[in-house]
Amino acid sequence: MATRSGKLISRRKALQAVAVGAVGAFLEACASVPQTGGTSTSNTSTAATAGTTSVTTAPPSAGAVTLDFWQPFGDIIGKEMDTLVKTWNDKNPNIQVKASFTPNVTSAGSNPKFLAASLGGNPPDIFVHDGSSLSTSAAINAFTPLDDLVKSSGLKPETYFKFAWDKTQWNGKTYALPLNTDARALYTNRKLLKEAGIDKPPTTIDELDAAADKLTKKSGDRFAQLGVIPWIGNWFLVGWGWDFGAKLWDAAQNKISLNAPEMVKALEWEVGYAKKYGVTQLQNFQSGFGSGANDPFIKGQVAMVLTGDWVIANLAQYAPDLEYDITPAPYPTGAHAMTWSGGFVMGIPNGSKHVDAAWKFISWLTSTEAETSFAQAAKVLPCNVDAAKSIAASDPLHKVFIDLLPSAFIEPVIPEWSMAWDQHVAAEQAAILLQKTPQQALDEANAKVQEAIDQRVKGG
Amino acid sequence: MKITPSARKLILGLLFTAPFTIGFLAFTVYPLLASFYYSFTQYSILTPPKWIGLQNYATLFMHDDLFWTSLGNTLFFICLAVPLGLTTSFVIALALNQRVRGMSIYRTIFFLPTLVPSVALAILWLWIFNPQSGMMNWLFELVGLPSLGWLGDINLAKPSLVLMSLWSTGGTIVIFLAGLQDVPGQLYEAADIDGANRLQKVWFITIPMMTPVILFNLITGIIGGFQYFTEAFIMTNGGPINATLFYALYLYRNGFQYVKMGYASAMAWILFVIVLSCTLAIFRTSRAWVYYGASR
Repeated sequence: MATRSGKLISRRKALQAVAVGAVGAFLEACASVPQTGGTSTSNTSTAATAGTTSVTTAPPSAGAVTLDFWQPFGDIIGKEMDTLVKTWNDKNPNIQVKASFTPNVTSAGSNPKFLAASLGGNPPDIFVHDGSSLSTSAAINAFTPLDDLVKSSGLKPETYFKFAWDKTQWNGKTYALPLNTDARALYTNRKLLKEAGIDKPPTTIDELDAAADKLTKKSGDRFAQLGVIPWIGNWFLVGWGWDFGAKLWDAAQNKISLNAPEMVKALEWEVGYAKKYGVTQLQNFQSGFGSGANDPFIKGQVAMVLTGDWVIANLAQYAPDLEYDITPAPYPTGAHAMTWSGGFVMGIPNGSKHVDAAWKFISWLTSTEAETSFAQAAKVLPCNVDAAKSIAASDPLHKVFIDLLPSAFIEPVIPEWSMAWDQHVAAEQAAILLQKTPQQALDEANAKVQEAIDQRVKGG
Repeated sequence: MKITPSARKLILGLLFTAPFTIGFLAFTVYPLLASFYYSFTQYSILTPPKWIGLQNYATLFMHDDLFWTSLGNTLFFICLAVPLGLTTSFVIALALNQRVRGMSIYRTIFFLPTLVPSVALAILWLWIFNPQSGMMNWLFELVGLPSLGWLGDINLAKPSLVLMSLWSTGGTIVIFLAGLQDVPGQLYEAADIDGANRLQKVWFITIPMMTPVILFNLITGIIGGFQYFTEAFIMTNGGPINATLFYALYLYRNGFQYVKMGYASAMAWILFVIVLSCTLAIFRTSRAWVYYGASR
């Protein structure tokens, strides 16, 4: 890209890029397609269609800059993002934005394509990063700190939800602006609950357990319907852990607590379901679940599921007649309603030649005006508080989630989180399949992640 | 300065091979050597590598149980998939070597699955393995066998992937087929005169004559097995409980998800040494069992 780069990249950088690229090329030859399903912590990280869309309309005048904007959204959300970019381009002939669809290859962690471009000294001007792993990339200087720009532009962190702002921080600096988020809650099938004689969705864990028993039906030795399976949907062990009161990260001590007593308790409670219903039978039932129109909640295979706000759009598309309620996740007696949130953040990569122009664009994209229209059209949750308020006023289903956002938990902002996530998923599986006790599985996972953290802290 | 004709030839030759040589040096040799250097460093891609000596290797061998898990999974896969794959494709190649009408159609049919991109194949097999609605359990129930959990079962996940790998043996079959057509016909005629039956002809003529081809397929099969990645990445993402966490998948996670490129480079070099020793060992033993027609 000779037209875009002002100076030549150093030979050392170029060769490093080649080396990293070669490893990537080997692996990419093996798999060059985004992962679908799996343990994605966010619904929007993968997309069905690949390709590049560029949106440029107004003729750029002399002195105009073109910003390279890499964003991971496909489908409807991608289309709405393109619409937003077009709106910007029409209004700002001197700062034209070229949006490129860059799907995330993995559910969490850095994006290989972005890393290779950064190493080659030719990163995009704006990169939309998975929010839960921004610190992984920030810790290796992939992004420009934005604190001076935040200060000089008068942008107030309170514009966004606190949890969303917290996600953009690393080592006392701001590395991104929050773009969109998500939240999780309990979906219940109104008809099935009524049939089982339950008049309102459960609010506590005890009520959930009782409802689950009433809603579980067998035909022969097979399940015909289950009330709830704690580990399906999009809640995960961390969700139950926070729900049970766990604190996963102690920033002052640099200590991770995947094995906090409340995490162990939550996992023991999950294992209770595995034991009650039988591991093999549950597995067989569970692996028959489909997606899209064959989603187990739509098919009535499970009456209650803990999952994210994006499911509203899926249900509207595949089961417009299904009657359901959305309520906060059940919590132990004495606790209160909560949720946990992922989502995406937007940063300016180190090496961008148009930092000021990029800042103008991203601060506009996270403004109340842009966030409101984006969230409304794409059915995502905004991080901008005022935008969220106006969505909540007009959309009762999303309101349930938006009302929970002030109490949202986020995944610990540490570069090792991607690894911790994999470890915690494997520990949850090992316990549910009765291979390890919850305590043992979580102790082992925690030790492993703590070792990686210690190594970083020690290394400076 | 005068250039002699031979020097001129040399220069021309070098110029003609330059595209390859330069590409090879820049995109193969340099990355290879660089990754060797990085394997002794703490290298997070965008920050300068920091020399830490043998620490990556020490951590891998002493502290990282997932390294051993992934290596064990990979060896398990190879030990099962390679012999099974060789046998299946050899038998299919024998069948496809008969003189029957419409043979080219059969050959095409057996080669077609190889043309399906591995990602599409992975999605297809996710359906086939679906315990509730998949074809495998449907077949099992048809013959009165209990239905299985396949990819979701920690004991069956790897064998399921092995089973799936037999689907795309088209390439191996083609190589075997080419080898089969090179077996001299007069050997079979001589065997016929001696009264050998079909099985004896396969055992005493076909297999010995095919040993160089078997050797080739064995080695490429093992190397391919060590690099097994796509299916596990897409279908199981290493689960359940790391039962399908193969070496290449764990390497990928370290390199690109956890951004520990130095650590990943060390893993790559260990893999290289393992693959190299396997290949050398097989070459050593090959003197005892491979028959080359030309070197009598």
